[in-house]
Amino acid sequence: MFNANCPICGSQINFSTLPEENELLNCGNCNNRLVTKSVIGNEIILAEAPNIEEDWGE
Amino acid sequence: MITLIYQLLREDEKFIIESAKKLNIELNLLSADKLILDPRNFQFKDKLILNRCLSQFIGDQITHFFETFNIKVINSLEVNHLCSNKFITSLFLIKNNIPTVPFLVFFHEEMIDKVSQILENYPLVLKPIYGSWGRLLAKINDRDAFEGIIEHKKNLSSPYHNIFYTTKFIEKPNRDIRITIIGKKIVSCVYRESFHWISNTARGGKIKICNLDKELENICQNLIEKIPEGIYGIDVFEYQNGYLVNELNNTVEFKNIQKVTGVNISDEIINFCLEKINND
Repeated sequence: MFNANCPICGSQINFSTLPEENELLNCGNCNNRLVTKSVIGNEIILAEAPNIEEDWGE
Repeated sequence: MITLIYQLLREDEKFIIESAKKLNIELNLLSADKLILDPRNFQFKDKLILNRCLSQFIGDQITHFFETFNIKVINSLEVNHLCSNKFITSLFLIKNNIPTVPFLVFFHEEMIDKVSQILENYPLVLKPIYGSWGRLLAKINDRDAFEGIIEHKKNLSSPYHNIFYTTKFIEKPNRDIRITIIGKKIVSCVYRESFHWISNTARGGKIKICNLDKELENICQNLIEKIPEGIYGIDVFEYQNGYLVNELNNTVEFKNIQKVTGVNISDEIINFCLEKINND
């Protein structure tokens, strides 16, 4: 089991496997949209997901 | 074997990763953030790129770069070019006799009365030529609104906001239809239900299964014959006992469709990639 802290509310988020870089997830506590900023070894750093850009989408 | 280039790994991409694992296909993940497109030091070991970038503009640069070095990219630049600019899509549909929503483009506010006359009066819909998820769409109910929105658009920074792509407003039965086409195959067909006039799932539209009737199937088959092979999301309106194709979308989002219909679209995407590799 791996874990990291939500950068917004600070609660612990658990991962059954190591996530990929730039993987989107939701914090189960504050429900904010997060992204894995980096995964170095077993250390996972999360950041707030970026805002939607004008040319994003299908 | 396949490189999946992405900016953010969403549920759609995670489905694709799962399918590749299940089908025992080597899928290498590459974040666009780590890319340097340097033609003097070009090295690439895989046979195909599945480009799932969220940004149309970044995605296009990546596709253009790899196609320059004869690496197959899904979707191709030709598909992206057809889908990303709504005016180009509409012109393609008209040219190929695919029923579509009446549209036009103009560049100056002096034209608004003429435009409303040509499109048989209000309401109209003003859309940016680039964009997705129903962003910056405006339903224009009268001349005052038209004038005001044009003035606002003229003050936006991107030059493409000065291209006024306008369509007739189509009164829909609180839903539109999304058809997923992969290669030559119609993979899924769903309704996107919404009480809002914009029915994108990104805007809260709910997915329900839709059975293709003969007329819609014929429109799709006709379209499949004309479009360059790729992965498409086709948006269709029901109108006066018939159908109008509204948009063609690339970098298709399918997670909700896959969940509701049970059609494994991510498997279909991987299989299409393999087909393209084997057709070399």
